[in-house]
Amino acid sequence: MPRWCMYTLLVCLLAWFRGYAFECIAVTEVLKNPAGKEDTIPGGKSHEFVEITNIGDAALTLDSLFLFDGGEIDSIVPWLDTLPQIRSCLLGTRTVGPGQTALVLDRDYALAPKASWFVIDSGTIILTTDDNDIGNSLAEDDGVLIYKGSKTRIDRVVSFAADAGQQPSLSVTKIHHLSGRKIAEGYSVIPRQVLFANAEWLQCPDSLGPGHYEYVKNGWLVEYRPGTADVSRQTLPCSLVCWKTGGCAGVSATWAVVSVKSTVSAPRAFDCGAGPMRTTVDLPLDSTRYSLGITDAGAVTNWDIDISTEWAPLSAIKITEVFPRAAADEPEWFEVANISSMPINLKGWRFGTAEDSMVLSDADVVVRPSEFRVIARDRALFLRRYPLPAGLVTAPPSWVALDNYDDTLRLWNSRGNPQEAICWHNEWFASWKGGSLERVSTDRSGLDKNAWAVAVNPSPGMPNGSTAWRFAAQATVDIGPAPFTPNGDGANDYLAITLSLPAAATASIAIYGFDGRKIRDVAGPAQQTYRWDGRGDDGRPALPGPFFVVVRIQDDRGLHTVRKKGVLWR
Amino acid sequence: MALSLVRYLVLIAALASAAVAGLNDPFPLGYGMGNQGTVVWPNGISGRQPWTPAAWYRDSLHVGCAAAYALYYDAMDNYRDASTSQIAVGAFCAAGIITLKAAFQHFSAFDVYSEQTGRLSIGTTALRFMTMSIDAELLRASIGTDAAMELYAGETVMIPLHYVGIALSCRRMHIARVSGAGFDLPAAYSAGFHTPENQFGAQGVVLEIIDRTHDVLRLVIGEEYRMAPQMALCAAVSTNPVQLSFGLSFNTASMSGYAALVDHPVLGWSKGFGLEWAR
Repeated sequence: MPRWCMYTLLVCLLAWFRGYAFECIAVTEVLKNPAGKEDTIPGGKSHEFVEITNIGDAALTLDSLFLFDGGEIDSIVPWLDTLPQIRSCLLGTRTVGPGQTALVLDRDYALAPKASWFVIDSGTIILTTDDNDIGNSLAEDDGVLIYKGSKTRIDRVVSFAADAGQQPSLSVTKIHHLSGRKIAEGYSVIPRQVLFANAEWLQCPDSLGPGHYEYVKNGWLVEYRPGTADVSRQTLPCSLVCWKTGGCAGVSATWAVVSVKSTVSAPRAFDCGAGPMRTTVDLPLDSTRYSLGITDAGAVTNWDIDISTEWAPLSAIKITEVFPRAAADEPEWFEVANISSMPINLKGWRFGTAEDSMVLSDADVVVRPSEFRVIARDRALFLRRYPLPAGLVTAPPSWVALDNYDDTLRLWNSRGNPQEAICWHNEWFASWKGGSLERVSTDRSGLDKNAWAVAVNPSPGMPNGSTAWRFAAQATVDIGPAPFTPNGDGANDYLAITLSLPAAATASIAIYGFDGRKIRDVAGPAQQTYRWDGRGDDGRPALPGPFFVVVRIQDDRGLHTVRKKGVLWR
Repeated sequence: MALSLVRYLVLIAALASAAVAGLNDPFPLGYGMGNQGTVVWPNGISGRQPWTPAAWYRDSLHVGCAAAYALYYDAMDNYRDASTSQIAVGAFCAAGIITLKAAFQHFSAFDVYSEQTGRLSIGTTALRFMTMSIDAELLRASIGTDAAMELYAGETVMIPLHYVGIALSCRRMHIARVSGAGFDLPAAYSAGFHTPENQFGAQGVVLEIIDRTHDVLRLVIGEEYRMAPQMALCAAVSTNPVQLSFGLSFNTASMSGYAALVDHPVLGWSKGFGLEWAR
């Protein structure tokens, strides 16, 4: 056989073997449009970066590797200059090997003052572009496309990351300004998952984490997605993807899914094949939290599988109070309550309006049955206004501004399923003087105006006692005592006027003397019970004899009047 | 000149003296209910009512008696079976230049609270150009076994001119506390302008000033139209509170009967009727 045939056969054989390799290059972190004044950062937006992680078991070379941000195409090239800020990193490398992480830095990072250097993991490969910027500078809604080819042709897409369509407002600048934390560069964003398609992008839990993908534990990456519960079998199929970054070749690991009540799957050998192990397990619906453990070389690494959202009934989490009117001493906030009989983790839930949505929390926020949780725009400011236990208050990474008078507020669970929707309207606030909107009925839809009442005294984190009296199907008015004797002897000195109103009703109270003249006007309805001291608006004592309490109520049925009579004696 | 001075002095005296009224009545009883006290004829039904000042009377009849009843306001949303009502009975007699009126009123508010009022008014027609009276009223209010009693006095002057009669009165002037904790009734001054019957009926305007911080003024305008010699319709409107009233009266040579409705925009309708005999 001629030598060239041997070479050709060898090349084809290598290519065939390469076909079994699992190539997975993931964009695992992006810092776009850093916060802070540009003139404090030499080179303008010099701190932008794109982190790529070679999760697969095939090497990535920089040959013909390009980056496109939607505006400009740059060639990705090795970083050659030795600088103190990247002293422990790998420079001049043209290959990103399996399991390695590379950071594409802006060239002007070389000019960055020491105070703003990143803490980059040792061993990270530093790359850059053949231009002064990454693309034409990464804007908030830019995606990142890494491909093989040329500046005029895409031969093969290596990786693609775009959060613009899913999180149009996941703005690192906004996050910086709203969080109250002083991170000069703001926050980067990372994908929640990379082995499943359509990854959701989150704020980096460490603010910035260049050099590693945050969800890799001991070199292992485990992701899961619950399916649709099988009610007849009381199980929830759950898709699992497990992979050891850099490849599973030679790995002898076992995995198992367990809960506190049961073992779902006995330890099984890890079977990667030519890529990640993809399997489905049926999780019994007798627990809300499972654990997937991987035993690798004697070390056990566990991942939580939280299915509380799947297991819980729809809308187990209710929005029970909302304060959409930010003031100087009080941020916007809303309160949720768990009305189910099981704990629910709000991690990964989203909240928002019809226009925008944000991640509620990237960390565990477990709401136990009947427990309340306050979601506030500014946690510190909120706690100054309401001295609640700090654990009851959660501040999302970023906030969707609420309209003061007309808006919706929605909740989605971690799978993106709508869980709750409420709204409020301008006409509800006729008697509003700065309180909150409290929900008087969780049985009614949050979009039903009869489910809400204006509360003078907000009660975040606590039951809505101040508006419980607004749950009446029909308005009632009670007065007492009879007779009413405001003579200062300590007995029956005040007349109690007690209202029960439908939530959407408004009422005004007036007291008339027997001669038909109005003695007293009472603004309302701000509270359940008013006390009358037997004096008129002018402060003079009312005459003994009959009097009348007239309550005008405006509700769905129109304007109607409730009149009660009483007797005053001194 | 001398006559004008006398009139002036009498007016001052009337305003400075005391007069008596019920504790908190929204409108007069009997014949005055329909016109809210705006139609006053010294020789008419209003002048003969025993519970009105004797100064309102100048007629040739010597004796008479009357009774009236009023049921106040609509049924409320509590104590629906217990009403608020008042009954009044009284008599008058006139001999020479002296007129004497005596009346008793009983007020009951849904079986819990009650008032009893004894009223005495002595007037004179000694002066040709005016009548005047001194009024005394003993008012008792009680609730259960607890009671209070007060004595009030007042004076009323009626000046009958050619086209209009002027009535001036001062009411609710406290004289003595008889028993109990008593009441703190604000004094009230009123001036009324009352026409005799004319081609448009009879009209009256009453302006009342009440001694309190606000809502001190009250204006009442009324009209009575006689459809037949024995029957008349009347109506009146007042401010503070706004009340609209209607009345119907019948009269024969010695008997009169009257019924009235008063509407309060918030508290509803009050109903009343009365009978009177005089000769």
